[in-house]
Amino acid sequence: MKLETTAHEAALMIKVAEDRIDAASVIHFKDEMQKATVDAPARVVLDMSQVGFLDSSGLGAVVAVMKSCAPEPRLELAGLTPTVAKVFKLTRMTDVFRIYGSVEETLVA
Amino acid sequence: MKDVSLASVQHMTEIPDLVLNFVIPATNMAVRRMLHGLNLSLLANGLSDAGIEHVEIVLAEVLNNVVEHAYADRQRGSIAMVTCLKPHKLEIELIDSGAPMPNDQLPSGTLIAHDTPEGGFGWHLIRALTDRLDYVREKGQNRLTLHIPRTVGGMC
Repeated sequence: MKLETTAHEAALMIKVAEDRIDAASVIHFKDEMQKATVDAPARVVLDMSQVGFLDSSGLGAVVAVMKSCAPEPRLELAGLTPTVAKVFKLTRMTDVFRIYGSVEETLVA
Repeated sequence: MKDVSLASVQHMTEIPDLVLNFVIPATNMAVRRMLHGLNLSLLANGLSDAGIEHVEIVLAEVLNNVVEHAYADRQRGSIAMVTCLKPHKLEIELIDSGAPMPNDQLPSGTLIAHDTPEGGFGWHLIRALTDRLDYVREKGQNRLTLHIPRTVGGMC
């Protein structure tokens, strides 16, 4: 599970450099996210633009990371691909996260 | 294991466009590879990207459940999957020899509003993305059949 972090003035950007977050990779995702969010600033944006597929275990992990970070850093999402967006919408997690269309939008927000 | 030979196809009242059989070990990596193989076959048979995504979301949930729950206490197990693409729907039967569903019933998959659970999404997704689910426990096997209309996501 590869994560690429970039520090911006507005937020810490974490790009998931993988095609999937599924049952086969979810433990590594959680571990890497935990490391990446240690000493993070108040706002963290998870760039999901490369992730083509996420199952319920992947979704559960994103929710778990968000909860373990709260109240700060606040975890926001950007760049959901169609399948990932569908999973978030069907489970109503769109109400729980702040979700941006693209990474660029998060930096001007 | 169910006989999925040509004879069984010829018994079907509705001649399918495609029948695909997979038998895999019950592991997360094998599930991932089988889903990839199925995606390619469905794509080659003219299904839309949206239709294939729909099928992959449902199947990943059902198969993960078999690996995580039905075979939770077992070192080894296998899963058979028979995918039957019919003119109006996709019918997928999954067979495993793991533990039965709790009370021999499929979970309801109800989401609790305004909560942020870390689990319980799976059955909600399965139910939201299928038309009908048939489950039977017989001869020590779970047999679950998913029915997905081909109208979803302009699947055809």
